[in-house]
Amino acid sequence: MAVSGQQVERRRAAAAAGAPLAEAVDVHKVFLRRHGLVGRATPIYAVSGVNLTIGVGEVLGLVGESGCGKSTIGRLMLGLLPPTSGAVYFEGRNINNLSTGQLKPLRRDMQIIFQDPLASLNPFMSVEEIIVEPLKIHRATPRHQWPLRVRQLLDLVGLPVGALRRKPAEFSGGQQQRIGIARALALEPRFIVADEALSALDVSIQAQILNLFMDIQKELGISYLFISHNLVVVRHISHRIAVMYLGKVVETAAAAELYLSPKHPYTLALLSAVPLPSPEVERHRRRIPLAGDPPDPSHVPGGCPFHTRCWMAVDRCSVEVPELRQVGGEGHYSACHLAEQTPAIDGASATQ
Amino acid sequence: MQSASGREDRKSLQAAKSILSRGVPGGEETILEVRDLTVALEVDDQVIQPVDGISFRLERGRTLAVVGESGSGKSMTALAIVGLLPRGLAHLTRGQVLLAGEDLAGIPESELRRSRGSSISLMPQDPMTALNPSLTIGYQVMEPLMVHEHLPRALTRARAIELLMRTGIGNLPAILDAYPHQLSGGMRQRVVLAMALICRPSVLLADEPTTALDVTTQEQIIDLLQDLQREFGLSMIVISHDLGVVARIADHVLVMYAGRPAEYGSVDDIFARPSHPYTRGLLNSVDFASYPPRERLRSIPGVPPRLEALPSGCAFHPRCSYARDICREVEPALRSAPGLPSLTACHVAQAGDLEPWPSAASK
Repeated sequence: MAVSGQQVERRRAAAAAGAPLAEAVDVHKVFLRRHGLVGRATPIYAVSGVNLTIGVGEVLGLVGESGCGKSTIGRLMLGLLPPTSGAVYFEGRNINNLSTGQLKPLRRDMQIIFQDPLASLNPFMSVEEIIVEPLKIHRATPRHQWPLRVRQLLDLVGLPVGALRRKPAEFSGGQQQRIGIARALALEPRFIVADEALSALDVSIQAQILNLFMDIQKELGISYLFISHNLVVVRHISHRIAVMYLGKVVETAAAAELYLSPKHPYTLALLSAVPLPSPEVERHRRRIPLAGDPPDPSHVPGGCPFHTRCWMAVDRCSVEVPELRQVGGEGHYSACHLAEQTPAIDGASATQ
Repeated sequence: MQSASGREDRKSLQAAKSILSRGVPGGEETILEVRDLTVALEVDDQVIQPVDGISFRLERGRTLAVVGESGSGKSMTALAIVGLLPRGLAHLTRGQVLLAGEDLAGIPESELRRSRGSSISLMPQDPMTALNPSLTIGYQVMEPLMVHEHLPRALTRARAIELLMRTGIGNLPAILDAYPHQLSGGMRQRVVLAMALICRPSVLLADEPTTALDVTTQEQIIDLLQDLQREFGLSMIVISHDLGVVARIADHVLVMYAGRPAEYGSVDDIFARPSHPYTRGLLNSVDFASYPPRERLRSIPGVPPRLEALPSGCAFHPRCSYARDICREVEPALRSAPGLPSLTACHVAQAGDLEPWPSAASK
């Protein structure tokens, strides 16, 4: 894909300065759930004090159970939702203070790819119209160059030119996701949030689309926030990973380190729960079963939010909120009072 | 059964018996046998076969996993076995479903109703759609028991409470008066499991039992299925596209592609010595242990075929790197061949021409 020299320069400069491309600083998001027409609304603490940085050309994986706030983070990072408190920065600018007009040029740099490709594509538009639409809205490319640009994009995501006149419903799930990716890439974004972008796809197609995500990332140097509940996929694509539980980041580390020596009991439990495609390994694995479901985010337990399901919990955990602190190697943070006592992960699970 | 394919099929079954009885302690007694199951489905004035010549045997107390991508016919196979194919749209054109020797495919609906739920039971794919949103949990769990056993209401209720407790549902008996939307996904899955087990069936068909669940909840449900299997001596057919779940739960595996059997063997052979190129492709797509981080995966090119336009010969040939002339012309039969640990429907594998599969040790 054509990236202008100016843009490349800008990216290099930012990378050299070591400044994060996107950053969340102490972000909170509280939703209000109303019961009926009258009566008081219950606050739901979807995101509670999250700090995240995503570097230029970096892939940050975000994992956790459903309801932990990972999709909300994705939307906050793009300015699609305003935070209740805290701020989100893109290239050092606080995007929450910008007017719609000021935000529009930034939107070109930030895109999102959704879980359900069909629901995110307008069923009445042809593939060509879908891909051209962002070019139209942002007047990014002169009109006479649209056909060329669309062909480049189709080629990039591996769709045949014959796809142009067809409607989204005529394609399989994997091809629909390719259309969504082509649309997201149309404006040469620098940051993409992929929200469970592989979850609805078949196994053989998942691998194809994961390859596509990695190819694009390497070729264009785009940064991803890769949100998924599939821990093995996230480990494969990410440089760094953040684990969320009940609206908080409980552990973050380089991908390899997180999987080899997790320092939060929740991370360890998640890793031990992923079934691995080897009967031999499965027979001999040690598991850490977690009881019950995550608590309701409208009633977050006091102290450590995980203490109600944690097998390591001591008295202190139900009283004192653990802060994220450095444990182990550089950039490895855990929000657990007992981080140093987290048992080593069993060898079979770690190598998988 | 048709004569030619029938003969082929009987041969396959004999081979299956010899393969499946090898090295599997305890599992000698066949509880369910499916022979040459074939389903016709009418779509836009066209007749397609979402299930085409599926045969397998389920041993008492064991688990068979049926693996395949969407459109491979795995859910339709389950519906055909319990006689719940969508009426007027799909019907069985061939084959037998032998449950303890009795052919369920040949008996009238009224009689089938008696076995369904009490001797063979289906746990459907999506608990939210499987449950009636306007009926209480208690009613829905007790209903099969009221239909099948006509027990006094108090006794029915006691059995429902006992089973719900066993499936790990707390807050009893209050939960009996709750409605499905008030429960979490994991809890709904437990309720559906209780509904499927309340009449103590000997065979449970679980269609994607963990698909919509988080890994931690998934683990709870798999543990529960395995505990209940041991406790009740259940035989299970688990339909799944998740190879991790299959590796964990199955004794035997049937891999389906475009409605047809691709490979059938013990779980260890399928995962450690796969002999169908499609099975190998699936494993390559998920076996992240054998790749360095951020390296491209060896994915299967292309997409599964539409059943209205199946490729000639082997349905997998357009996506297969081994494909040769015979693959484009002749549909391969599922059979054994020298050197193959599993039954395989692949000309190239049967001729012994597949590359050796890297063993786990070399990865």
